[in-house]
Order: sequence, then C-alpha cells, then structure tokens
Amino acid sequence: MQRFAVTLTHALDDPDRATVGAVIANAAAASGKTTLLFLSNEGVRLAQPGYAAKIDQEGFPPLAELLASLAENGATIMVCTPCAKVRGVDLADLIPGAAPGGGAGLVEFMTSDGGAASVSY
Amino acid sequence: MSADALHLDARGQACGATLVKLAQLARVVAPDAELVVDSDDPAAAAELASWCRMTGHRYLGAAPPGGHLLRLNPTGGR
Repeated sequence: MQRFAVTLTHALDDPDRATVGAVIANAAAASGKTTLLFLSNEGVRLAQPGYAAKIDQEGFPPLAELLASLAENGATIMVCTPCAKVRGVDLADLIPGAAPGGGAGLVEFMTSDGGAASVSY
Repeated sequence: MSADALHLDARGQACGATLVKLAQLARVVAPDAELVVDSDDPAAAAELASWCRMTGHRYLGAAPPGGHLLRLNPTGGR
C-alpha cells in the first residue's frame, strides 16, 4: 500500500494551516494510503484532548472531527516529544490514535517499504 | 544483558541528538556490543527501534529502570 506523510507544524497560531493539513491527511487515509500525521512545533498542541475543539474554520469540517476520523481510518498520529515537552503538552494524555514519536519514526515511515509521498503544513 | 554493556546517558536529550551520538558510537564498537541507552523520552522505545531497523542494529527491549537495550553491529550499521 502506498504511504503518505503529512507534517503539521501549526495549531491556534495558524488554524487555517492546521485545518488544511488535517484535511489532506484525511484525504490520504480515505484514499487507502497508509497515512502518518506528524505533529511538531506548535502542531503538537492539537494532540491535547479538547484543544482541537477551539478550531473550526469556515469552509472546512471542525478540526476535532478531522482528527477523530483520521484515527478511525487507521492513520497514525505521531507527536514530536521534545516539541511537546517544551510546550507543556502531557504525552501521557493524548487524543485517540496519537502516540509519542520523533525523528527516527518519521524518517523510517518516509523511507521504508518504498518510501512515502509527503506534504508539510 | 552482559555485565560489560556500554551505557549512553541520553536523559534530557531530544531524539535527534541521541541518534547522532548513537551513530558515532556504532562506528567504533566491537561486534555484537550491548548498549544500554538511558532515556526519559516517552518515544524512546519507538525511536530506538526505528533507528535499529534502519541501520542494521537490534533493539532488544526495555532495560529497567528507564533504559533500553540495543545490540550494535558495526558491519550492519551504515
């Protein structure tokens, strides 16, 4: 199966980018791609329970719905641990489908099994 | 774990810095060297296992308290 990685670096600092990144990840998961959403920088905040409810951009589904459907479609949500740590994001309390991760996990996903297409937001 | 296992204290380090140190170590170890990586990174098990799969080393599992046991293979490492 083809693989698709979305790296997402924004949250409330740029709700439009945060939303579109999640939309694209959903498009990949819904198209049968093995999908990774890699949250880093400000994006790690999206993995906090309840946080995504603050983002509901006109013209797009609410971000909380987008993240929930990603998990339901089997996508992996990886949360950059050093990025989370400096922002006080509790890695022991993340949204469904999200798990702590890091550079090696991203690199392995993007280079194993024929590699992955990717976009960054 | 053998008594003469090597140790790398990676506590407080971001994952990228730990991987760079591991790569340096892997160039100079003896074959089948055992290494315990002490880390407080919640992603350490996944990260170290990923790194091992990519580089030809082996992630052997948790080494309590707070450590992870690797078997480094200099010929398999890149």
